[in-house]
Formats: sequence, C-alpha cells, structure tokens
Amino acid sequence: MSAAGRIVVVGASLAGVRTAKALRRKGFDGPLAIIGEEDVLPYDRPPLSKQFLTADEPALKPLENEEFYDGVELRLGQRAVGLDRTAGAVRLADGSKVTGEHVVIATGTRARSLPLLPDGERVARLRSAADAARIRAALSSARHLLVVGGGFIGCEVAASARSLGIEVTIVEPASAPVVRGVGEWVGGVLADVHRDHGVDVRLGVSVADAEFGSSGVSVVLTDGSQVETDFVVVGIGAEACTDWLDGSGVPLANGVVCDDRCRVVGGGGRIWAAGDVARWPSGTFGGDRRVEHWTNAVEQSAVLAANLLDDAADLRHDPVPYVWSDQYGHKIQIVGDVGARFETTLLRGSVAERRFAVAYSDHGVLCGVVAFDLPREVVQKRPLIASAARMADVS
Amino acid sequence: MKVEVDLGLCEHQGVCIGIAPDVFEFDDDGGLVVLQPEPPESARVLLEDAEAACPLAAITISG
Repeated sequence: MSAAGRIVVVGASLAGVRTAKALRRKGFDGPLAIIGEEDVLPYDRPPLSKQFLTADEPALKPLENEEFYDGVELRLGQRAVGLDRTAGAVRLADGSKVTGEHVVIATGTRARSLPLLPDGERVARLRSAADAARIRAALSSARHLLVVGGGFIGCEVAASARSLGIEVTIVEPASAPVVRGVGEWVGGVLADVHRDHGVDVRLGVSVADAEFGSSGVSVVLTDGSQVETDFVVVGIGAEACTDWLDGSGVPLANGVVCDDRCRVVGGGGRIWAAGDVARWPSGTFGGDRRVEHWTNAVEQSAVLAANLLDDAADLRHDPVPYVWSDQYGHKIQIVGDVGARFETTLLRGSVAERRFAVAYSDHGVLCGVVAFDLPREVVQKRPLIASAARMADVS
Repeated sequence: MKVEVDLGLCEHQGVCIGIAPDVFEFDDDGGLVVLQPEPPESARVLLEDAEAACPLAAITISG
C-alpha cells in the first residue's frame, strides 16, 4: 500500500467521512485525521430541509456512529485556514498544524448570501444543522414564510413549511423553479405542484428591497409588488468553500480543480479532492463539472480512497449523476444530464396525475430522466443513459 | 453473508437495484424485495457498494 503515512481529511462532510470509511474498509490502518468546522458529530444533510423541519422530535442523522471514529483523530469545531501543499500541512484557525502524507480536500460548499437579505433574526440560509435549527425555530411561530430562490432546497423548505400549515411565497427570477436543473417543462410542473398545495409562486421576479420592522419583513419585488413575511429563507445556490486555499497554489475555479482520478492538479499526487468542492473533467458528459449531489460525494470518495491507496487501481470518476428531492410526498428523481438545453419527451405516466417520467435527449441520444413517483423508470433508464442509447431505442 | 433492508427506512429510490439487480428488485407494487438474502461471497464488493450508496442507509450487510 503506497500510503503508509498519515492521511488528513479536511471537511467532516459526507465526502470527507465516506473517504475515511473507504480508506479503513480498504485496509488502511495508519493515522487518519478528519478536520471539521462544525462542532457536532458529522451528520447527513438531506433531511435538514425535510424531516428535520417537520418532525415532532428533530434529530440529526449521524453519518457514522461514534465507534467509527475510534482510532481516527477527529478534530471538530476546527476550521482549516491554509494549506502548504508541498509539505502536506493544513493550518487550523487556532494556529496549529496537521500534516499528512496525503491531504484530502472535502470542504464542500456554502449557501450563497443575498446582500439585501443578510442572515439575521428573520433571515436564514440553509446549509448546516445550526441553520436548520434556526429555521425550525422560526417556523414554529411563523404564519408566513418567504422563500427566495426556487431551487431544490427552496422548494423543499417551502413544501415542509406548507405541511406545517404555514403560508408560503416562493420568489424565483427564472421562468420556473429549478430551471437550470431540469428545464422549463418539468420546472413548470413543479411550479404547478407548489401552487396545488397553496404556495404563492412568483416567477420572473427577484428581490428589489427589504425593510425589517418589529413585526416582520416587508420585501419589495422587482415588479413593484410587496410581500409581508415573518421569516425569509434564502436559497439561491451554493459556492465552493475554497477561500482557505487562496494562495496555496491549489488551482481554484469555483471549486478545486482535479483530474478524474480525484487528484488535485499540481498536488504532486498527495492532494486529493471529493464531493461538492471538487471540479473535474467528465468524459461522458463533457466539460468540467462540479456536482453538489449526495450520491456524487459517495461515489467520488470511494474512487478517491481506492486511487490514494493504490496507484495501480487507477479508477476514473465519471458517473451518471443521480439526485432526488422530496416534496409533498412526491419522490422526484433525476438521473443523468437534464439541463434546460435538451429536448424533452414524456416517457411514461401522466403529468396531471403527478406520476410520470420525462426523457431528456441531445440530438436523439438519451442523456437523462426525471421521474415523479416512478422509481422503476430511473432504475431501467440509468444503464441506457450510461450507454448513450438512441431515443428511437428507448421505450 | 446476509443482506437486510430496513423497509421502515427504505424510500424505494432503487439505487441498490441499479447496483445489484440480482439481489434487489421492485415487486409489482413498487415495494423493495431482497431476492437473495444470503448471496454468494462473490457479490460482496457489489453489495458493499449498494450498502454505501443507499441514501437512507437502509441496507445492512453482515457476516
């Protein structure tokens, strides 16, 4: 095994913890450190916008139980502030250094902020457990919630708030929710689903001004209309947490630039990256990608661990992307590439019944599927997407 | 080796079926079925992948 020395994982994220787990599972029994900024046992994020907000007794879902960290140097509540890439030394906020033969960058992303609506008593973004706890507390007394941004996080928070009986307005500058993700057609269905459940969906507008009063927030939209609300959740996307790498020589481009073996470019084979923070060239789908999906973090960390421990493994990370969203009891699943630029075809089911699957194709080649409550379609089409099947052969 | 799925946690995403179609399957009602609760040792790597890939952590491989 080529990695006898210490391995330092920066980021107690899904990618970070799964990398550690895969390293141990593959037989690495040397020193292993995980550095995490948050002061809680590493936990799973998908429930934060769903069950964590709506359950009677909210509980974080730990990624691994405490015993997993026996024999792991788990340094929580410690932020990495710098990296000496040639020495493999990670500098922490308290001035200490953790040095490894290998360094794994898994610092993830942070939610983008909106200058007009900064975090405060009546405004939150959702990324961490602490954020989710604040939103949950606010929802316990709110009558109205404004969600700024119709991405998946915003849509899920909106659905959770509706299930608690709270009035909700979604403001989205594009022509439909999640347009960049799934295109106009499916985005339009999603807007209808939210309207069916009583959400006031405002499309093609954004926030022009906000005034904070003693009893709430008054938000003016770009069409001149006004929304009075008790609480605002800003969900306008995420950006890679790479500021701690500024000046380190690690190439950054809204993400850490690595190859498809999870090696950071210019890292001398000792610096690695996985999860939301990693940007790598995708052979199958073309171009450089940075993917914020749960499943990508899981798959990429497994590839990383295999390559780190054994040069001969030489595994490529080039998966068919997969992500899901839960809204109003619907399971929405996305597999492959489903951007707005592709042609869409109804494959199965009925939009009116909110149970359907849509194929996305590029010049007659199947590249992705979105399914509403039809998981079987996702299972069946995934291999066809991987093999770039022609639409004429897809049924 | 034993494969167990906690059907209380399972949300029928089908990720495991994509990875190990010989072991997992949807029944006609869309419920998850474990076709081989005690699969051969040769399936271990694949099943560990399925265990790791389950978004609900509903799969347990033991033995």
